[in-house]
Amino acid sequence: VLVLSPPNDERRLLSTGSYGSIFGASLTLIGPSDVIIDRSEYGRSTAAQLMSYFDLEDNWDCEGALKPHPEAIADALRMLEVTPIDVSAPKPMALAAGDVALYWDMGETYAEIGFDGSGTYYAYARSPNLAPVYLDDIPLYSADDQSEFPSAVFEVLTSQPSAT
Amino acid sequence: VKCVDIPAILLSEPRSKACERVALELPDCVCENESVEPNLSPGIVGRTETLARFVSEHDIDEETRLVTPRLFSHAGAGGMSVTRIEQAGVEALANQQRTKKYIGFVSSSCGAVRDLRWEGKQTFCVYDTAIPDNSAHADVCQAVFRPKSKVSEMRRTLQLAFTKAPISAV
Repeated sequence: VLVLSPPNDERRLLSTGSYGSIFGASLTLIGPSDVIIDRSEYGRSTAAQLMSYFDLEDNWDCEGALKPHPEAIADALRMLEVTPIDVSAPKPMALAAGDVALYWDMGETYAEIGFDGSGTYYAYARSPNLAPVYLDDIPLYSADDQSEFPSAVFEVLTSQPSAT
Repeated sequence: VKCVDIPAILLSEPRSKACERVALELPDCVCENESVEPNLSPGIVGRTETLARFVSEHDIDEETRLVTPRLFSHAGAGGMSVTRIEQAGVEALANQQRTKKYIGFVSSSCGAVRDLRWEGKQTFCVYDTAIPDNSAHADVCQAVFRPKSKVSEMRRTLQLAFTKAPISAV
């Protein structure tokens, strides 16, 4: 079992319970809440950028963008926390109307998960060899306060290009 | 509500809902066919005109130096400002870049933007919203707002209609 201590500023983003789905069958969580699983550098930059969104004000882009909804930032951080390390870390964006989104732009393969601060998310994902994915008003938290990365988006992000 | 009311709607609060209000009051991009700012604009935006979307540093991916989808999200909020290149001219473009400290612009044809469709419906309208210090100013406004997953797709298609890497006008 690898137990490491990331910098304190990242520690609050991590919790033992939320990593079971990330590592899946390859990881058995053993214990108390002070055990922190090393995710190396995964998502560190994204998390830092998301945290910086809390400091933005209305019209932060000088084009009239609303400041990101704080709840949307928190929800994006939560989704980042449960994003499988099998896929590259997403990039964040603060949309003009105050929504916050995580996105993966890999050319023909693209995925985006958006948050409006309502505790739900929406998602769009497309790759050349799969049907596009459209998800709307999906609760971010289950009844037992757990969150899961959308499997349909994961499938798009890990799909292989068709052989030619 | 008339087409000439569009500039005022786009400046009214809440600006994040301005394009949605335009789409509700004046649906199906009907106002593309007449000037919405007849006292300042050189005329409606033609399909063959080139639209420049200026880019700030915060709209660039640090790794790839390509524009991010965020740059296009204003089309779903208060209107995405663009400059009509042929109407503005080279010098005006350069001045705009210097004044606002942009790093450059990406471009598309007006026709490519207007041709974007969702379930057969035009998804973005282009209006000749000239302003006093820029008669070549125009706005791209989203015309469909639900569901949000489809809005994400529309924003992506709008991004793909534009060039990827900004070029400098200076």
